[in-house]
Amino acid sequence: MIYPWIWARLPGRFLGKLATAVLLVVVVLAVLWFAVFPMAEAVLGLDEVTVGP
Amino acid sequence: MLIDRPATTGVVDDEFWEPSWRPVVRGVGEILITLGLIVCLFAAYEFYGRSWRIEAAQDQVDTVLDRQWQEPGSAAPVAGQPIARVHIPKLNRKWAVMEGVTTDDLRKGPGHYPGTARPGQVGNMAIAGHRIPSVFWDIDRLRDGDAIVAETKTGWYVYRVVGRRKVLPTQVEVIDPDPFHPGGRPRTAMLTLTTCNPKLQNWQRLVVFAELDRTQARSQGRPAELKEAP
Repeated sequence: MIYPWIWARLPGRFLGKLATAVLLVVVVLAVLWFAVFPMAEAVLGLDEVTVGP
Repeated sequence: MLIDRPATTGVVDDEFWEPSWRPVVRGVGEILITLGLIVCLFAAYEFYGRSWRIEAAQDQVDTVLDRQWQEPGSAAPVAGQPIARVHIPKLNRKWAVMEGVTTDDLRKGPGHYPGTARPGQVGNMAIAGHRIPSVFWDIDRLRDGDAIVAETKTGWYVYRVVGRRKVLPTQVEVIDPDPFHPGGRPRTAMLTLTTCNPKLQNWQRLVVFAELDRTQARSQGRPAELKEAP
């Protein structure tokens, strides 16, 4: 029930809510793509391609 | 118009009514769907995002490399800076190779293991790169005799593939100065590529060995192996 909860709290009427929702989604995706995923990759060791002891 | 609708008769005729636990189940469902989408997005990032980022970084370090080569004198390799260009004509690929194999170095392109031989030197020039489309994705397609060309400020070094191995990440002998006789004194100039194997996993390393075939000074123009490739 998170999304109905957020939707109810977005400002404006339908179009205003829609615009804010799209903006929120874009912000979340950008944070994931540029900050969280590069860190997760390093933590999970998916970027290891070298040989070493 | 008013309809007398008793709220507490115990008869459920309201289509919006739901048991009190159902919002909780729905909330859990929403969270799980969201996590699933995030994992899919992470997979897309691992495949495309890293490739795009490396391609963008390559454009930049390639320019840095050209600028370095225009300056007089020969500089020792600097960690985090590009040191050479490596071409694999069969795969239609070329990269500016970074000095160093840290996470940051490898986000810009293939990286040269510090302390291993430089292009053309007797020993083993070892290079690591990601197994992603813009880097070493297809190096399993290399066969004996295929050319790998290292380009430096002074010349071209044409190596020929002589073997491939799949090893564990701890088998450091593959970057030994003489990878075929670890610990021995190197007699040939080798070039070794390491990347992860299988594709999209990381529990093995795919290693491609190449041996120096010939050297060509820059004044003699591009080597014939690169003529048809960009």
